[in-house]
Amino acid sequence: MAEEYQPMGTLTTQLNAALGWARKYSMFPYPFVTACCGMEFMSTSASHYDLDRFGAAFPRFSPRQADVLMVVGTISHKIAPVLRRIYDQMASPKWVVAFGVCTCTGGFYNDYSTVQGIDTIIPVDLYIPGCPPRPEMVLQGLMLLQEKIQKDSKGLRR
Amino acid sequence: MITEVRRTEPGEALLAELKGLKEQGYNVLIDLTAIDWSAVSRGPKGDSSDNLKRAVPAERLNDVHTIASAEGEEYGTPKMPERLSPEQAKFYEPRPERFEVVYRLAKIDPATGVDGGRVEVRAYVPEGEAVLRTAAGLWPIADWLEREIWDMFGVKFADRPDIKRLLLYEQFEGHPLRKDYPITKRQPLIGPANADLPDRPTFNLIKPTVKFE
Repeated sequence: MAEEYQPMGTLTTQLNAALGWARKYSMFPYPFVTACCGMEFMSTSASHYDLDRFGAAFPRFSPRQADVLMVVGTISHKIAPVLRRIYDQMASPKWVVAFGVCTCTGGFYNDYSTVQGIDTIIPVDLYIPGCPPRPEMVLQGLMLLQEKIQKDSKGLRR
Repeated sequence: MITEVRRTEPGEALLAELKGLKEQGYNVLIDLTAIDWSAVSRGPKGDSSDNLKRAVPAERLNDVHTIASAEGEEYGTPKMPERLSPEQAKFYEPRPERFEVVYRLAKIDPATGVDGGRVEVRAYVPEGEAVLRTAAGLWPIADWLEREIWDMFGVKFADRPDIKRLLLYEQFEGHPLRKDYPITKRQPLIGPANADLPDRPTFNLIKPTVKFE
């Protein structure tokens, strides 16, 4: 930008970078909690590990208002259409976190009733394995997701 | 603790037995479940005489029972009688039916919660025949428990011709707790059949790990 158009005390950036910065620090997670991983998710959310530091403190219980779908816990064949519908109801841009090994691969529930990885139903941006994952893993995962959101916004993903 | 085990024939006799117990004050149906005996009756060679129960000759039943008692004692479970009475031995007689249903009843005082005794009623049920009668008129919870054993074992009830699954979904084929249900069998995902794929170009690159049979 030419010098003469720059008022004093301004910072230049790209629109996409600014959008990515805004998005990554204001994640609104939708907790789709079905099983025991939910306890670990609560522990991560609560004050000890404090998800608020990453701007992801405020869970929205309506998919219309959320932009990060956190799938926490085993997904059975019976609940799979519900999860798919929740995903479809979310407004773009949206990201999906597979929290725990059951959502990643089915885990040790290699049986007749469990979906063998939610990536057979919906696209997944971040896999956090573990049974359940430690809060530290979740926080690292969230930071990776923030990086991804920043990079995704380069192409103004909608 | 179950203090008494009764064995009866399915159908009217079983229903009459249950009615009698209800009148005696057994007001809680703790559990209703089924057992599929086909895995032990069909051994590795497909020999129907290869049943754990049926393979034991009648004169050795007492030895088996004694061993089981000794092991039970070691783990702190209540001691069983060392020798089987003829009535007890009758429980181990070989039977051709595939399934066995087990009703567990308790006498719970609603005011104090004191457990006034428990009883177990068992009956063998042949495969494919709707011989059982519903006990939902005696204990309302039997409604769901019967749906569960239909869901898991495919045991039918004569007076519930349009029984619905309890835990699984309607499109599920077969009954997963039957011993001949293949352990590796996976069924297709349910959902809207003609739904558009999610709006992500990479989605189709991910291959489903579900193997259909």
